[in-house]
Amino acid sequence: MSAFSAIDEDREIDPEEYTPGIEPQATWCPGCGDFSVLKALKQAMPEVGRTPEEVLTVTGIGCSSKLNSYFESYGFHSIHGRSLPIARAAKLANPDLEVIAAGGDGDGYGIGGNHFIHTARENHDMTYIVFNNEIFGLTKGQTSPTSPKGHKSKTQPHGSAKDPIRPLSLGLTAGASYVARTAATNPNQAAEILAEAIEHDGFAHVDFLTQCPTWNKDAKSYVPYTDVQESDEFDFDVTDRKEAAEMMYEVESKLYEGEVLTGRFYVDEDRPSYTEEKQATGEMPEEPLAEKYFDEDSEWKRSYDLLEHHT
Amino acid sequence: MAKAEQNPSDEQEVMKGTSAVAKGVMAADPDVVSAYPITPQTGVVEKLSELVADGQLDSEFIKVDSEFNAASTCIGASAAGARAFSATSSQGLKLMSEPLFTAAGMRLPIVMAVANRSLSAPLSIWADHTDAFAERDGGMLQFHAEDVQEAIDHVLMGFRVAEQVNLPVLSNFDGFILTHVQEPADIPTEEEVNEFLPPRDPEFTLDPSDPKTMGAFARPEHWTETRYAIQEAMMESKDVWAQTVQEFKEVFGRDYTEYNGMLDTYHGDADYRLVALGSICGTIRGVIDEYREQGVDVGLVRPRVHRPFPTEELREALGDAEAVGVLTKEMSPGYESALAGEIKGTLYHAENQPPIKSFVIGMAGRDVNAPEIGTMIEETMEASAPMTFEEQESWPQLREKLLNGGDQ
Ligand SMILES: Cc1ncc(C[n+]2csc(CCOP(=O)(O)OP(=O)(O)O)c2C)c(N)n1
Ligand code: SF4
Ligand SMILES: [Mg+2]
Repeated sequence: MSAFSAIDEDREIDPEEYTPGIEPQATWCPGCGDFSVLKALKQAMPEVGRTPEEVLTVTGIGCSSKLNSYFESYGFHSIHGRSLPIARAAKLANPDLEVIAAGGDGDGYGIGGNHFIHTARENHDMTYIVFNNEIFGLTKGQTSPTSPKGHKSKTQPHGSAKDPIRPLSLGLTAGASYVARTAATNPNQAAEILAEAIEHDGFAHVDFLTQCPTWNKDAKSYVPYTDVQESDEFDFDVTDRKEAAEMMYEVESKLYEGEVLTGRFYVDEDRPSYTEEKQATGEMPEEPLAEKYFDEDSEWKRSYDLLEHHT
Repeated sequence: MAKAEQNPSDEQEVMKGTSAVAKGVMAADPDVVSAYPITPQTGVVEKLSELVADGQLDSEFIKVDSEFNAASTCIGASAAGARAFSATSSQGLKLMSEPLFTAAGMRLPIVMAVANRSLSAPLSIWADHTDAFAERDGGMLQFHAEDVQEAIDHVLMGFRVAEQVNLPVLSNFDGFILTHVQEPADIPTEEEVNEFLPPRDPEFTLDPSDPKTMGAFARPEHWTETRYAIQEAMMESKDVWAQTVQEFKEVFGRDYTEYNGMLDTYHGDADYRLVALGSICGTIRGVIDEYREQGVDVGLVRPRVHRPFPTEELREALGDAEAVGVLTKEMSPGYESALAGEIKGTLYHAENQPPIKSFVIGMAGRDVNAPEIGTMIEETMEASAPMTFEEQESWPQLREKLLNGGDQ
């Protein structure tokens, strides 16, 4: 962490620090899977040693995108599908921020799908949590890109004719260097995966299965689930792209057959982030671009630089 | 006067505004419907997809990932010769802006219902007209409905005029106030519509026997003429619209022919005249009644059509007023509200220029009540030229405490 971070303190962090004073109680429907994401995230933060002042949460629009109203951090509630470009740029301007982008399956895999592809491709050092409830929650239950084929909704009364998107495979091909899936019914694993994703140096994509009891009553409640890392049935190397791709394909297919497989599916610790690539070619300074606005010394430095250039 | 009857007659059905508009669209029998859900429009397309699924409407309902896709889908369908419909609101309309300008340039008669809602930020789902006004200069015809019946009828008439002048139509109706209200309305029957709306006879289309490229690169020596053609078509659309409302009256019995279908008035020859768009006019009429009872000669001029702009009609309807008050739910930061500015522009070379005061009100669903309208009437009565720029427009509902850092 560079010098200008206002906090940089070494102390115990309590998950409750992440409960905001203004809206301590989330207004999601009772039984909504989104509560589990919030809880897991609050548990993950002390693990990674970040205080609310060091975290930026950028969301799109949807039930899930209300996350930052209920999570004490810098919050940015953007427009539908656009969390990632905003989050990415904030990270570039101030790499000391812990940047988390979040939103729904419609938001991230549909209307904002191309941002997902390109932000993953660039491997920015940030975390992207997709609350995957397989429908549009906020607009009352329409079919989403992850709704299973045949899924019935008001806009598709005879069932969707489309194969759902394969989010894990998409993240992998696009270039995410950490890809995992967890489920709202699996709180301990969820907290662990989120902590890992946040600590990962590069674009970490977490597909978080969340149930919507209000509009997606037919959906499985994601129990029982299997953690592929805990199970003897699955043996694959998360650092091997080919094995990961095969595993993901199976996991995605199985979900729609009623079997919930969760865990880490791809981890690449070696791939440099976008910032590292740019620094290597000298196109990005080592010090955060935004530092000058926060650091008193930088004003002096600017004056000296000016003098040097003009004398 | 445009208000729907209070008691439904035998032919009328009571249903939610969005369902009523969907049923009206069904009567127009579009070949392709494509839309993306957004509050408060969602009900329109949900109802349409239900009607398609039930076999009541023989259309292709194309579900898409975004409004950008929905508008582009309508472009493709319309270019291939189909009758295409979409609906949206607010952010969705913003996202359609790029394809819609293109649709106008390609002269594709796509018809859309726009359930008006404010634009972000801050985020709000409530009604105003900032979404519609942001698309003002794209080459789409724009209508504003006062009640659910008009919202249905404008869409239907929209198809007719769009397909004659080959331009897209945005048929505006206020979010929640009209989308979520239960009002009795006449739903056009198929027979009536058959009489009124002929099948589409596409003029610019992808016809395999006569190959063309649409939207090709235009050099500086061609672009201006292509875009000018939109201006010509818009001007021509006034006559087509006048004829359309006339024939609509003959077939359906509902009379929108006042001022060639461009304006609707209530005591339109009063000394003091208010101008407003859409559903707020219902409340304004009530306040006008109260003031008239007390001897104040005040009336209302309501543009039904915003594009093409009703220039001649407004000159006639406002020219001899003592003063005019424009109540508008949009703003143009850095100048005054677009509606007020346009009305002044329209009167500039007319014979008379009554003094005009404008009021930015009802933004993002803020209620406008009768006493507030009364105050605006009284301020209009005091209007006299010349005025400084600051005196021309006010925001009577501003909460000064909030502006000064108060927190409620
Ligand atoms: C441009 C635009 N189009 C449509 C909407 C309406 N809208 C808000 S949220 C949403 C989808 C929500 O689904 P998802 O992203 O899966 O989030 P969830 O509510 O399920 O958490 C839609 C269509 C919007 N806000 N902006
Ligand atoms: S509608 Fe569904 S996704 Fe939205 S808060 Fe309720 S349960 Fe959760
Ligand atoms: Mg969703």
